[in-house]
Amino acid sequence: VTSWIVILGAAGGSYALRLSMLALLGGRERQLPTWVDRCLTVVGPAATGAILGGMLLVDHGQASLTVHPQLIAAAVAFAAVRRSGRTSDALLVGFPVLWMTTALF
Amino acid sequence: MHSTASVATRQARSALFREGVRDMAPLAVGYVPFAFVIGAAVSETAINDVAGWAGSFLIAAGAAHLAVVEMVDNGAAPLAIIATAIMINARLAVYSAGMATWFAHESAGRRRLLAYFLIDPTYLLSTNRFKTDDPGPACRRWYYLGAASVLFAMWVSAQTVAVLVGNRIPDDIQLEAAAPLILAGLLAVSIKSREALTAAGVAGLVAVTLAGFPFSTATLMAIVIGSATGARPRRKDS
Repeated sequence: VTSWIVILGAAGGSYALRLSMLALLGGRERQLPTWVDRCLTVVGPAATGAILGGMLLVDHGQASLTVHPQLIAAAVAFAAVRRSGRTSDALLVGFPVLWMTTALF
Repeated sequence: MHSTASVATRQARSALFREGVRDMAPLAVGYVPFAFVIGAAVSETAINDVAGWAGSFLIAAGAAHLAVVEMVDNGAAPLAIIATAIMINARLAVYSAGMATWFAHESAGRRRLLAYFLIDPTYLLSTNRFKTDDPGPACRRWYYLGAASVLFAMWVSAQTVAVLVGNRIPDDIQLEAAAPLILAGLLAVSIKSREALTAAGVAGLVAVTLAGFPFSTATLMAIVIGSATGARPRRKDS
């Protein structure tokens, strides 16, 4: 019973968060303060940076600033996509780099 | 009988849907190892298997879901567990505000449906597509729904398999690296201004610095501080 309570509670809370601003702001022309608008234009890059930082430089809830194959592969993938403009290069370039550096480490 | 115009519209919509599927597919595969970790945790720990499995599509957010599973196993109080999951997912409210711009013309009912699929990969991929090549207010949802369908299908089926048979993915192919690699690529194309570069850099720095913060709030704080820093008015603006 506890299992269902926490799953349904977490599910309801998560859905409320997802719907919150879509319900409050949507459906009409928005009248948001300019600074909120400005922030929203960079939420995407900020979220990507935050998630990447967590994936690559955090280990078991601790900052872990070591060079490892995934970090190198991600940096090379970033540079490759930056050069070509094709997001598919992230995997086409990243995975070979990852496997090679893993073999070397 | 359909007029040629509506046939053309339907073709454009289905092309957008398929494009969303195609763009999300590799990212969805990258999330499979994470889905397996959660599914295996559900089957091996104290949480009821069916309830834990249902979290894959009810909570539909990996970090919060895993926290719930682990906290049930540790015997934490139900309210503390729910509060933790909500803290971890607070970033979804930020995504919700970001998406409200793009889905402002959708009906309230449709926005309730679209909200359900809101999660990091669907938000990031869709807003990136809308910013680079906007399909227009009437068609945006089809790209988003295409991307969401393949992600959710992959997520729920991978967890189902993992709950049934445990984690059987061999470690050495490093499938889990697909997610950071694709995000690195997404970051490369989404940084088009100094504001965006600052936002991403500061957010990454904050996420790492605050890594040990309680209730996994580091990501949320990183997004808020990062975008506020990136968007701050600069002297030359005034």
